[in-house]
Amino acid sequence: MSLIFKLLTTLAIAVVLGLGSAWIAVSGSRPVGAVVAGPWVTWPNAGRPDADPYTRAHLAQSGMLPLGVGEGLTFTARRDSSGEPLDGNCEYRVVGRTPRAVLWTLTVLDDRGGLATTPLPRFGFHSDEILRRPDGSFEIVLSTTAVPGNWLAPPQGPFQLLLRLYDALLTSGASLRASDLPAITRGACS
Amino acid sequence: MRAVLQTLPFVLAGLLLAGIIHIVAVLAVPALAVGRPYERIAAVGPENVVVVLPDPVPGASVLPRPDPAMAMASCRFSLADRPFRLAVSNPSSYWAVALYTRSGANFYTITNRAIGRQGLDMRVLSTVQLARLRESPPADIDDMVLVEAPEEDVLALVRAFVANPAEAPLVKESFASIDCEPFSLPTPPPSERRRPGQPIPSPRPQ
Repeated sequence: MSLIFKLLTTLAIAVVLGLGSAWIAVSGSRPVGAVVAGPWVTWPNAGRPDADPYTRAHLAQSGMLPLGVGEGLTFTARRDSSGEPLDGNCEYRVVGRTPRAVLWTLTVLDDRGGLATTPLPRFGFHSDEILRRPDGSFEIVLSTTAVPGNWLAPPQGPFQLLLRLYDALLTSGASLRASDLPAITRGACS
Repeated sequence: MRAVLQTLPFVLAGLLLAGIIHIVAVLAVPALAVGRPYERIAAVGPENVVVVLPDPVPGASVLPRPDPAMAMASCRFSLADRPFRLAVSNPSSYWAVALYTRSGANFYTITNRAIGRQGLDMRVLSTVQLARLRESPPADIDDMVLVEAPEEDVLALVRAFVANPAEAPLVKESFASIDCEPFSLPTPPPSERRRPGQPIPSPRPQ
């Protein structure tokens, strides 16, 4: 094996490893700087001017203007509670409660981050309009057929859910458990 | 054994290089990212004026990952010449003003919970401008929210909660009353500055 071949192989492997690990750390399933609670992922430092390089990179490639650290937190779910990707061909139930906040909104977006095309011009719920159960928790149903209660039509294809807590008491997310956030359970798929 | 010893330097060099590439890649993403929020908002309206962002619809949104329950207005300005004043008066039951640098880093946020019923009178200044304002503070300085910006270019974003679509026109109407304009720093007349014994701005031992 000639030296040049060895050097080129080393270089190629280094590029693949370096870029691959960077991609996984920034936008993969185990992002560095993110807090994962059940199906939900948040970048608690996104609203800080001194955010870590991984959070900065994540923000830059998402193109979002983050909520300031005193304003709230944004949680993203691209998978359900059992780890399956969210798919518009399936029914889902989003059940539970949210950490304390003055206001929260839950939005259905397509996988590229735009508002999803749905049969109705309704893209989510917020805390002032949602119907709650006697214990204060709520249930949102995503299904193609309308049901009474908090109902949303899922978009076509893969989608994501965004939960935003405005004026949240929670700022770091460090002590967050999966049970503090709604569970996303999949029902029947067509 | 000999083969392992011969390969080892290449493996180590490869890992080291991979680490360097990883770090460079992560640090380079913000600079290489296309469609940064500042440029996206710049495409909607000019500098120094309040731009009400159009409501997101499927397939068209100024900023990615929009929240349809929030109406947004923005103002881009530069502190190169003068500081800026941003005045907002209660567009809805929940609202916030967030300040970002050109690269999209948030450096200040205030929500209506921290603002009185009279609304927000925010002054965004560079370090030098803030020092000059403090040297000769105006009478109503206590009513102002003073914010020191880390960079000259600032993007201010007002988010206001729209509880239902019927409220949207009212919120938008209130956005029309947002002031985003430069203001002049109060400068003491030069003669006053040179008066002997004057402790402000810089006391001199006699």
